[in-house]
Formats: sequence, C-alpha cells, structure tokens
Amino acid sequence: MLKRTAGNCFWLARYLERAENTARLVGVAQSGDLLGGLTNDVEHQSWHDALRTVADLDEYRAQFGTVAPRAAASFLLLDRQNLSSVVSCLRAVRENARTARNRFTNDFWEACNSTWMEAQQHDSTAMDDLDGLLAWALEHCQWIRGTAADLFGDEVPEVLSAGLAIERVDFTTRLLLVHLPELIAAEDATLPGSRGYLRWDALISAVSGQQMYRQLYRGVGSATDTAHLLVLHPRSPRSLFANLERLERSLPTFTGGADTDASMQSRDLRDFISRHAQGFASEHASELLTQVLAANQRISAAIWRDHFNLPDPNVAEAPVPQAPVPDTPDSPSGSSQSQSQSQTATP
Amino acid sequence: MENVLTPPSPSAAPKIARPPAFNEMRRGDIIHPAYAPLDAYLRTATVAKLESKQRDANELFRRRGITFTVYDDDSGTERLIPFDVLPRIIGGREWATVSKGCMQRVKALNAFLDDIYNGQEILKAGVIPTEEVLGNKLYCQQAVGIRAPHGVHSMIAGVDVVRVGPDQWYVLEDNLRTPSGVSYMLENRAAMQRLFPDFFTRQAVLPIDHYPDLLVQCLRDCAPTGVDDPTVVVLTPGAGNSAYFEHTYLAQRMGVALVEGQDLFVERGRVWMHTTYGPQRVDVIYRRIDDDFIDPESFRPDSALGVPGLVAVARAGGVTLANALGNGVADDKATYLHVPAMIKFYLGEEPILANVPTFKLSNADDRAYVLEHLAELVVKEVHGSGGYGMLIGPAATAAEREAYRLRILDDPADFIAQPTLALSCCPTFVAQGIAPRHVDLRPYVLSGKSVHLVPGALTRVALKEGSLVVNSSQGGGTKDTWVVAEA
Repeated sequence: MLKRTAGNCFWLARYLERAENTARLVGVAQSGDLLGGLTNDVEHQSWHDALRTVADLDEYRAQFGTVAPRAAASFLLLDRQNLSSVVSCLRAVRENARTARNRFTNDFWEACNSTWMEAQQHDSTAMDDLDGLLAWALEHCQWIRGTAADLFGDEVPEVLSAGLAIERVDFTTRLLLVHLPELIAAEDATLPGSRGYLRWDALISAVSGQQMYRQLYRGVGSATDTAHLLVLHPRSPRSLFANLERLERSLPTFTGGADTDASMQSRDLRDFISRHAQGFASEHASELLTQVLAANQRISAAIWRDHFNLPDPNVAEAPVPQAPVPDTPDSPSGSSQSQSQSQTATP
Repeated sequence: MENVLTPPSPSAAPKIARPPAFNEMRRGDIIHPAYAPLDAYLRTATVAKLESKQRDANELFRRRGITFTVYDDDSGTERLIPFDVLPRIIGGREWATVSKGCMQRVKALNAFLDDIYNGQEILKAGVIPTEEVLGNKLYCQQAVGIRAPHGVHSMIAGVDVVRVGPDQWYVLEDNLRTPSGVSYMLENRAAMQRLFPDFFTRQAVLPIDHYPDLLVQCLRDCAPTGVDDPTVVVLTPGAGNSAYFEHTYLAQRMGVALVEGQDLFVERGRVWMHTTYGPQRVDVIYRRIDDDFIDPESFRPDSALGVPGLVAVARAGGVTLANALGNGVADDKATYLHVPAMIKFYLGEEPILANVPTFKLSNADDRAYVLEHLAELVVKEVHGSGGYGMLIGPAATAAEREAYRLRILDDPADFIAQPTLALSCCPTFVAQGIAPRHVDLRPYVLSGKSVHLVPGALTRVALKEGSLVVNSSQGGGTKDTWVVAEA
C-alpha cells in the first residue's frame, strides 16, 4: 500500500485506541471520585491521576486552576483544544479515515464519519450525563473496531494492528507509571475496600482487567501480580509484552521483512522487559517504565521514518507525527501532541 | 465545469418571450408512461412524507460523507449539494438517442484530438481552419506527437445535454478534461434505492452501478504498449480539494490506489509510487489535476501538486495520462462549432445530437446581429468555463450589457453567442411543494478499446423558480436519473 496511506491507517488506529482509553480513564476517575466521601479525598485525587496519565498536569493547572471533576472530565472528553481529548481523537480518526477513504469499506468509513458527526453534537450539556457520554464514546469506538474486522486482510488491518500495539504499550506504561509505584508502596492493597485496594482497582479497571486478574491470580491487589498481568503476560490484551509481540507480527506484513529497525527495537524492548521481570514490581518500577515509554516512542518513530515516510527529501513531506504523549507522566509534552495531529490531513 | 444552462433556440430570429418549457412528466393531462408510477405516488404522498424522505436523504449523504469541503475556518465546513428526492425519468427509446449521440460525439472528438496532435488530416482537408486549431491557446505543444493507445485521448468525457422538446436535445458543451460529478450520479441512485425501494421493484430502472468497473476497464485498455497487467491509480490534488470525496470514491470502487503528487516519482523512464514494499510501477494515471499543475518541469513551475518529469514519460509512452494532455483545445467553445463537421469527417455519419445554434463574433454578420440582440442572447468567452465571464442577456441590466458590448468589440474572436433556450423541466420537491424546475443532463462517456455509456447520467436541477442556473453554488441541486426499459 502507499506509504502515506499506511501512515493514515497507523495514526487512525492510535487515535481510536486513545479515544477509548481516555474514555475509560475518565470513567475510572469518576468512580474513584464517588468514593471521595469514604476516603476523605477532598483533593479529587482520582482526577489528578487521570490527568497525570495523559496530560500535562502543570499546564492544566495553569490554564484551569484547581482540579475539579467536571472541568477535568470536560477537558479529557470534549475539549477541542486538547488534542488528546476523546472528541479530538475521534476527529483525527475521521480525518485519517477520510484521507485514506479508498482503502476502507463503506461500513468502516461510515462508522468513523458518523461517530465524528455525533461527537460534534456533544456540547457542555453532555457533561450533565457523564455516564451516558462515556457509554456513547465506548460504544462508538467499539463499533469502529467491529467494522474494522471486515477490512481486506492484506496490509490495512496489519498497519492498524501496529498502531494499536504502539498506543497500548504507551497507555499501559503511563497507567503503570501513575499507579504502580503507589501500589507497591501500599501495604493494604490486598485488603478489599482499603485505600490501597481502591488504587489497584482504578488501575485494573482502566485496562478492563478486573475479571482477568481475578481468574488468573485469585485474590486482589498484589503489585507483583498486577505488574505481571500488565507488563509480562503474553496473552493479556493490554500487556506490554503481548503488544510488542503483536507489533512484531504485524510489521513484516507491510515492511517486507522481519529484520527492520523497528522490529529489532521491538524485540530488544521485549528482551529488556523479560530481563527485568522482577524489577517492575520493585522500587525500580518508575525507572524501568520510563525507559519503556521512551523506547516505545523510538519504535514508533522508526516505523514512521522507515516505512511510512517518503524517501525523497526533495518531495514535500507531511510533518512527522511525534509520539502523542509525555516523556514522563509528570511532564507530558503538549507540543508533541500538536505535531501528531498533522497527519490528519489538514488542508 | 459549465454550470449555466443557456438554452438556445434553433432559429436566430429574435424572440422576446421565452417559449414555455417542455415538461418531461406531463403534457396537459397526459402523463409520460415512464412517470406513471411516480405520478401515482405523488397523488397520495403528503408534504410531511416527502419532507421526511428529504431529511433521510440528507442524513444518508452526510453519513456517507458525500460532501463538498469548504475550508474557510480551522475545522473545515462540509456542505451537501442539495438533492431532490423526486427522480428524473427518461424512457428507453428517448435515452437511446442521447446515448448514441453522446458516444458518437466522443468518438469524433477523440479522433479529432488524435489527428490534430499527429497527422492533422482534418486541417489539410480544410474542414476546420488551421489557425483556429493551431492558434488556439489551448493547443498544447507538449501533446504534439503523442500516440494515444487506441487513439483515445479522453477516456472519461462528460457531455452536457439539454432538452427542449420530446425529441429535441442539444449538446451544450463537451467536457474532455476532468469532468466531475459522476459520484453523485452513483450515490444518488444508491440513496434512492434505500429511500424508495418499492419503485425499483415496480419499474425496470436500468442499472448504472457498474460504472466504476467499466471505468477501470477502459483505463486498463489504455495502458502503455507492452504492459500486460497495468497498475492504475487515481491522482488527486489532496484532501483539501472540494471534489476529494469523488476521488476517494472512484479509487475505492475501482480498487486502485489514490495517490497525490508526492506519492509518485519518475525514474528510468517510468512513473513509480512509494509503497510500504518499495517503489511500484504505475502505468495509468487517472488524474484529477489540470494540465497546468501536473508537472512543474513542463507547465507551472510553482505547482506542488504535480510530478516532476511526468510529461516526458507520458510523451515517451511510459505512462498513460487519463485524460491525456491538451484536450482543452477540443472542448472549448470555438471548437464546439466544428463538432458536427468532425462527426462527418471522421465517422462519415450525420450528427445524432445537434449543437446549440451559435454565433461566432469574429464573423462580421454574426457580430452585428448579436450586438443588436444582446438582450435576448447569452454571450460566452470562447475559453471560459464554469459559467464565469458570461453575459445572460435577458437577466442583465442595460449597463452590464453595455460594458459587455465594449468587451466584445475589443476582441470579438474571444466570444460566441447563443439564444436563450427553454430548458425542459421535471417535478421537483421544493419549499412550495411539488413544482416543475429546469434540468440539464450530463452523461459520462467512457472510452477504451470500445466506447461505453451506462444508462444514466447526472441531472442537475435549478431549484429556484424560473431559474436556468443549475450550478450548486447558485441554488442548483441534483436528481437521480432513471432510464427505464420500455416494452
């Protein structure tokens, strides 16, 4: 397929995954906040956590002041200035789909297009029914994903799969950076209903992993088991390991070989993760996760550079989309997000 | 594309009052048989019902993304071309005339293009004055000597036709460069089948949905010599182009890549596209970019849309451009006058469809007549298109006519004039209810090893009462066009 079109598919998948992840993240923050009376959480810690995961908290405070639930939710869901908000992501999904329209089925395109049309209807009054809005967002993301199942199985689904994998590694790593160190430090997480338990519950809910965790590990709240499920487990849909494997399966189908720079970097990262398996549940967790995040961003950049970009420097190129997110959860970079938007075919 | 319908009357005699327009559905109490099912439906349909259908149609078009994009702000505004839910219906026998006539015309025009860029037999025979062709500013030196596969220079042609009576059709204009709108022909049908399925079970509406398959077949037919399994692409200026929907639509329906100039490059006498597997050779380019922008090395050096070196490859026969370079000389208004003569010269046939009677203002007698009758005529620039730069006499003020008169006198050869025609009308659902509105017709003729025309066309309708302007920017819309089989 055309390199430029492959780039559109890749970013479409990333934005779609990001929209869904962000919606789930807001749901988790909302649930946490509802326990505020119980936990004496007057600071709305759960919203701080959500913002820290996908945005620059300092910038947010500078712009909006104190973190308040409704404003934070609106920022994450509806704010069009926030290029990683659900609505912005859905717009990017639609614009990438429109640019690469000829590679998609009518059903897939209509799902992307209709979702964006409905997304535009959501104004601030939509915040009055947060649950309804979240349900809408999740349903529509899953609708688009469902229609993607019927895309012709040569390259498009594989490029979408690569985008999904990169975005999942990114999001899971961010979540772990926010929650895992606190979980490791908590002494009461295995005690249902405790504060540590609530922290664990937020993390595991944000990846829809509650049932999976209980089936695999019995009990609740173990930092070791949680790290295993989200970092190392080869069949956990959002684990780092499983998604790097997914990426390595997809890459050769559209890059013409297994030994590309991106493939090798992905294998190296998987080896790194395996080698430090114990470390992710230790005091080294933050350090390791920060390295994973940066490595994943380098893989994404390598895919772009080697497989989606135009080789001729004389030809006008679309700006290279940068990784959408912060280098560390505490210092996310808004500027890289705006660059990533450029692939979405602004005229 | 030419959007303003300027219906001429065959007689040059001055007429002040416009004759009543031909109504395609009814004459007095007599309903055209092809319209009988629609007539029966309209007798019972309520305005509320039709409004509901209209809303459904708009929703459908929005969801399918059949929109024009107007990037006048950051977000980009997407607009619908108004769609009328009442079909325009043409009987099979009537259609046969239009269909044969359009195909005949395009065959002759392709023969003309192949001739004037090669042997120039028609000029040697004195059928068309040499100066009018070789001196035409649209005669393209870069196209001289190009041998087109099967002699086809316009693989996709749109012929704008208007009707003034039961058997009276006129060709208003030929579009041999980048005729657009065919996606509306196809999507209008898809919408009507969803909105009014019952009609299609009761009436034998001939199918048009195979158009993209015929299109890709014709494009492949015209691949460079020696290429067995040609790769076809659609070349678009990009997602910001107002017709981008049509570009993606056709590429998707043909199952070919949609490329921009930046995706292509020239090397070793061929054109290649950047794919994830490396360079892939491209053999046929269905380009939706004008000549001027297609190759900065041959035309406008500031064009960022084109592909450097593309024209040289096309000239050497390494790639086929569809449509070919230099077609403008055959579809401008000066050449239009000679199409009937071309048909006789190349095909040895009488024209099936007539031209609108046209005055050449370079001719002293014609000029004198036209200047005296400006208030009744339509005057157009020879090289103009899109309805720009023309004078619609009956609608113009005295001052506008006077200003135009000075322009004519300044360079008479730059203008032609035609009588104002009474375009046929069809029932249309408008704010006032169901009312007759004027329509035109654009069938799309496809040429490869042979010539094809699906039984359907784009009907444009002037939604304003009395208006002859079908341009979407001036209150025009579209209708589905049904050709029905007759027993």
